[in-house]
Amino acid sequence: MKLLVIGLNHKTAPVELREKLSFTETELPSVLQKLLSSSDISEAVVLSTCNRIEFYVICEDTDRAADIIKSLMSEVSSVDKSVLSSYLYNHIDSDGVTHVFRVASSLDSMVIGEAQILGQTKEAYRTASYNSTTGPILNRLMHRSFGIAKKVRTYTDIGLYTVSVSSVAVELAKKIFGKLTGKKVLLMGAGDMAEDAAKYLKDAGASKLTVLSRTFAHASELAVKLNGSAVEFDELYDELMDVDIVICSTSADHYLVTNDRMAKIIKARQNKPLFFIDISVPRNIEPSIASFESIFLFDIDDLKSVTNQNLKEREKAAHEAEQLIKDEVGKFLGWLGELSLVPTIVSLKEKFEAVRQQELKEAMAKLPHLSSKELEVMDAMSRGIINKLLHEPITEIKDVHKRGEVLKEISLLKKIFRI
Amino acid sequence: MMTPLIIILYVAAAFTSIACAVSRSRKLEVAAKVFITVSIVLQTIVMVQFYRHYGVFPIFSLKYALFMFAWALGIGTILVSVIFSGTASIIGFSAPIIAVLVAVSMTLQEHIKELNPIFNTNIFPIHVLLSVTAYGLFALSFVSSLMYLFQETWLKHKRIIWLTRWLPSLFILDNLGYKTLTIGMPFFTLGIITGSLWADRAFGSYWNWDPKETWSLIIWLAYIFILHARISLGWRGKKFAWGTIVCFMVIIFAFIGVNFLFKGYHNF
Repeated sequence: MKLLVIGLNHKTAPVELREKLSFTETELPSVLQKLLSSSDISEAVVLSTCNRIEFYVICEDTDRAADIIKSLMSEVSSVDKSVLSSYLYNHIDSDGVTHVFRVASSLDSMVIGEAQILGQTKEAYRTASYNSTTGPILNRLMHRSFGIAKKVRTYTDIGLYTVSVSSVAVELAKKIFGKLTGKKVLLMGAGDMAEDAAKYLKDAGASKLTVLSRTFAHASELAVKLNGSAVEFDELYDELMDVDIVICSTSADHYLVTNDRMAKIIKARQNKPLFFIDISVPRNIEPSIASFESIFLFDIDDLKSVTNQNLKEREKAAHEAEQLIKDEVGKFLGWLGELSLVPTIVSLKEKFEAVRQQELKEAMAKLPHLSSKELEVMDAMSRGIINKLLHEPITEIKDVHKRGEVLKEISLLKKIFRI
Repeated sequence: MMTPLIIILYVAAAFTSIACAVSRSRKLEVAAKVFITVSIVLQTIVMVQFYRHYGVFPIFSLKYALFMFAWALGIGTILVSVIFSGTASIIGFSAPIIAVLVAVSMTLQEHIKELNPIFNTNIFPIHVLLSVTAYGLFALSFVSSLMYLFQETWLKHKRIIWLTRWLPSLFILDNLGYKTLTIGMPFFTLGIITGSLWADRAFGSYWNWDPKETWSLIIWLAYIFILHARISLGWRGKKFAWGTIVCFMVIIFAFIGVNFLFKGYHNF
C-alpha cells in the first residue's frame, strides 16, 4: 500500500498545458472510475483547479500507477507521455502526505495563503467520495488535510495580510476611518482595478458611490453597473468638498487634483480626513497634497509596496505553517504505519511458523523413534528459536513506527522476507 | 511591600501589549489584559488597606495622589480595551505611564502625622473623587492622542505600514481623545467647584489664588480652548492631539512641579 501524488501546477507547467488537462466537474467521475478500473489503484482523488491538476492515489506499485495516470493525462491532453513527464512531479508516501497537507493549507498556492484552495480540495474529495473512489487511507488523509488547513489559518497569520491592491485599499481606509459605513466614495475614471477597489469599498460598507469621467455617458454606464450615481467632470472640486475616499484611475497626462485648489478645499472641509488612492499612471493627483495633514495619498507604487510587505508577512507565517505541517505528517504516518504494521507482523510470524513446521516435520521423519517427551522438547526448542529471532526485528519495527518512518522500513522487511 | 509587584505587573502588561505589535498573538493580548487587571486589583487592595488603617482614603499627600492617578488611568485603560474592540494596544501606551507614576509615588517619602481636621469634611472626599476621575480621563485622552500621532505617522510613512495593524483606526483614536475630554471636563469643573466649597469651609474664602488653584484654572482654560478650537476651528486629528498632549504636560507640571516651585496649602 503506497500513497502516490502525481501532478503539475503553476510552477511546473505553463497555462497552455494546464488548460488542456483541467477536468470539468462532469468529466471527473469518469476519470476517477477509469483510475479505479485498474487493479493497481485502490483509491483515488483528483484535484483540478486552474493552477493545478493533481492525482492522489493509493496503489501497490507506484511506477505502474504513475504510468496509468500518465497515459490517462496524455490521452486527455494529446500531449506525448515523455513530454508530459517533464512537467510532472511525483511524491510518494511521506512526501505525498506533506504535499497534500501543504496544498490544502494554501502553502503551495500561487498567492500563498489564498483561501480558495481549501474549498476546491474539499470539492475534489466530495466528488471522489460520492463516486466511491476513496477508501480508509484517502478518507483519513483528506479529512486530516482539511483539519490542518483550518489549524494553519487559526494558529498562523497566513490569512491576516491582504495581498491584492483592492483589499489593501480597504484595509487602509479602515485604518483611517474606522468603519466604512456611511462613507462616500468618488471614482474618477474607470479601469478594472479602480472598479474592483470601488466594489470592495462598497462591500465593506461605504454607502455612496459617485462616478466621474471625462465623458458623462461613460460615467453613467459605470454608475449603473456599480449602483452609484454619475456626475459631470466639472463638478470634481464640488465633490471633493464632501467625499471621504477618492479612487483615481484616469488616462489624463496631467494632475487633475492640484495642490493649490486642494488647499482651499481642505480649509472648507475643516480637516475632515480624505483618502486618495491614485492608481493612474502617470499620476493624476499632485503628490505634494500628501503633506496636508488630513490627506492620505497612496499611489500605485505605495499600494504595491504594501502588498509586497504583506506577502513577506505571509511568507513568514507560511514558515510557521510548514513546521505545523511537519508535525502533522509525522502523526499521519504513524497512523498509516499502524495500519500496515499489524498485517506485516502477522505475516512475518506466519512465514516463520510455516518454516518451523516444515523443518520439524522433516526432522521427525528422520527420527521416527522419539518419545513424546523428546518430541515436546524439539517442538519447544524450534519455537524458542523463531521467537528469539523474531523478537528483535518486531521490537525494531515498533520503534520505527514510533519514529514515523515506518512505510519504508516495512516495505524493506517485506522485500527481505518475501512476504 | 505590594508596590514593587504592582510596578512589575504594569511593566509586564506594557511589554506583552507592545509585543503584540510584532507577533499579533491573541494570547499576548489576553496576557496584557490579565496583567493590567491584576495590578489594578492590587492597587485597590493597597488603598482599602490604607482606609482600614487610617479610617480615610489615601488622598492627603502627593505620594498617594499619584498612586490614585495611576489607578484611575489603569481602570480607564482596561475599560477602553474591553469595551472597544481592537483597542488592546492602548495598554502598551498606558501601562508604562502608570508604571512610572507608581514608581515615582513609591520613591516619595510619606509622613502621615495626625490628620489635619481641615480635611475632615464631607465635601473633601467628593472633591478628590471628582478630580481623580477627571485626571484619569485626561490621561486617557493624552494616551489616545499619542497613539493617534503614531498611527498617523505610520500611515503617512508607507514603509512601516505593518505597524498600523497594531493600533486602532485614526477615527477611533481621535474620537477617544475627544470623548474622554468632553466627559472629563464636567468632572474637572465640579472638582474645582467642590474644591473651592471646601476651601471656603476650611479657610473662609472660596478662592485664594493658591498656586494649585491658579494652575487648575490654567488647565481648565487650556482644555476649554482646545475643545472650542476643535468645534469651531476644525482642530481635528493632529492639531487636537498635540493640544491634548500639551494640556496634559501642564497637568503633570501642576501635579508635581508646582509643589516644588511654590508653597501653598494644597499639599500636592
